[in-house]
Amino acid sequence: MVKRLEIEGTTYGGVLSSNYGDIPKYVETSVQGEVQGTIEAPLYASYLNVLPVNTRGGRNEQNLLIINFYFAQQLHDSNSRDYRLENFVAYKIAEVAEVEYIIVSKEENIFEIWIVINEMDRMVRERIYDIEYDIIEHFRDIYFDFHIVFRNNRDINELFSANAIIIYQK
Amino acid sequence: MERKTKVSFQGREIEVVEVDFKVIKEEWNEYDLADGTRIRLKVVATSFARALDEFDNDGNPVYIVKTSNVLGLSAPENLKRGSLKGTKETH
Repeated sequence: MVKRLEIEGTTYGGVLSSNYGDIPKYVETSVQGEVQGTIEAPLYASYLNVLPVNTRGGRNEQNLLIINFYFAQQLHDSNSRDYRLENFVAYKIAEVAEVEYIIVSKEENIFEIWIVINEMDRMVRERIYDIEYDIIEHFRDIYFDFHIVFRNNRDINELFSANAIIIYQK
Repeated sequence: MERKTKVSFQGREIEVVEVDFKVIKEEWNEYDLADGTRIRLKVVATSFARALDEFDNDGNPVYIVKTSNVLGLSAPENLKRGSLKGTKETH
């Protein structure tokens, strides 16, 4: 039995049976190839269409077929400590696995970024340059001064003063 | 060059192809809060991928966009740590 689901996109329980496309959430495909399932979780529907669908008995009946029943949550929180620009810069540059430390110094719209890798490697340096270019492209109103530093097995404290702000450490 | 990969989409894995892009315009949004703080917010798109077998109700391919929010703020001195906010004013 297929229960009717109301148009207004609110939460209703019901059994869904359809041979139309993929209905990915809360439902399973039966051995007969029909899509069946119980919608128990909140249902976010933009609209529902009335289309003929196969019931479990194989007869075509006019039932509600959910075309677009899943709405992802549209709201999320961002906080001004974790979503700072320097965190974004660190997140992007740390995509390069060889990067060991990222140190930042900033004043108004000027960011100095030191990126520490252990030894000179042209390929690694090229990948970092690509990311630097991307960052600059996204933030054209900010002045970035990037430096790549080769640690050469030295202690990081030999390279930077104790009050340098390390925003990323591998 | 387009690169195929898989991403999570509505609770399942789907095949997508990553598509290169160029930033045309990404502006900062600015907000003045009632407490005197100015907040700047920018949504930064970091990747675009086209689903290979998913379409919207108009027949367009579905794109998966990865974004990151970046926030900046300028808070008034009286809200900063160590300020005298909350202490009784004496004359």
